[in-house]
Amino acid sequence: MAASTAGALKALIEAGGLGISAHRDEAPANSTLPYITILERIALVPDRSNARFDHGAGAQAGNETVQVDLWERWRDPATKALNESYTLSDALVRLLDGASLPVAPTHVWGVKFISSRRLPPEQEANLVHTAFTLVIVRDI
Amino acid sequence: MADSFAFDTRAVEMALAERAATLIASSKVEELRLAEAVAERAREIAEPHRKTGAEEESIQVHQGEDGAEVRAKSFREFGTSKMKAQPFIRPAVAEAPGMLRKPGF
Repeated sequence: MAASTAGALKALIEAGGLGISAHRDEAPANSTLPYITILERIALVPDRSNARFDHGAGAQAGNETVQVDLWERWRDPATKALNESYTLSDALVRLLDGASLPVAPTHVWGVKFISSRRLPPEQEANLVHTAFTLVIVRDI
Repeated sequence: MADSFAFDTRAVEMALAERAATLIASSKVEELRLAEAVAERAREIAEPHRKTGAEEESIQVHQGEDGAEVRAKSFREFGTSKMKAQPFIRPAVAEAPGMLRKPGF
């Protein structure tokens, strides 16, 4: 059982066959690119429309907004050839969208992929950053 | 043998068109109010992390043909390799359905 939403996403991503590591908030120094960082609980909003039909005292459903960041090397330092993968972003979306996160600390009804944004390459750091916004529909 | 009848439906069509125009105008006003509420909430969220005030100033509501939208210019929303993300637009948007239920929205 993961201790947090980020931990459950990390477990999903690292078992997903993409060959990339995932870290909560920030990656350890000298981590090998590409890697993923996860910023959980950007917002957690109760979802009254998902209230239990019996109106019992069961768990309240909520929508947790999460940001998943994919960090890749932009260019090969030696040859200056583009090093960014053109398929990794889509593969990550396919892995995340609709996932159920069975090791999350509360019951997860589903992961919804909302959007992704490829930010301008950071030339000095030689990095490409793609930010994915997710909504985790889960019990609070 | 049945008689045939002809109806002039122009008055009905005009009334329906007038009603549709009223509904569209009303929904645009509501949309603009919601966009302004989201922008205000985004400014509140951004404020504790203030350095220059540029984020709050960049949060603007634009009313276009297709509706109202909130725009902001900031690297802080998504972060960079040297600066951790401090989102302020997405939390405000996530709270927007609750704003719809507040009196006045």
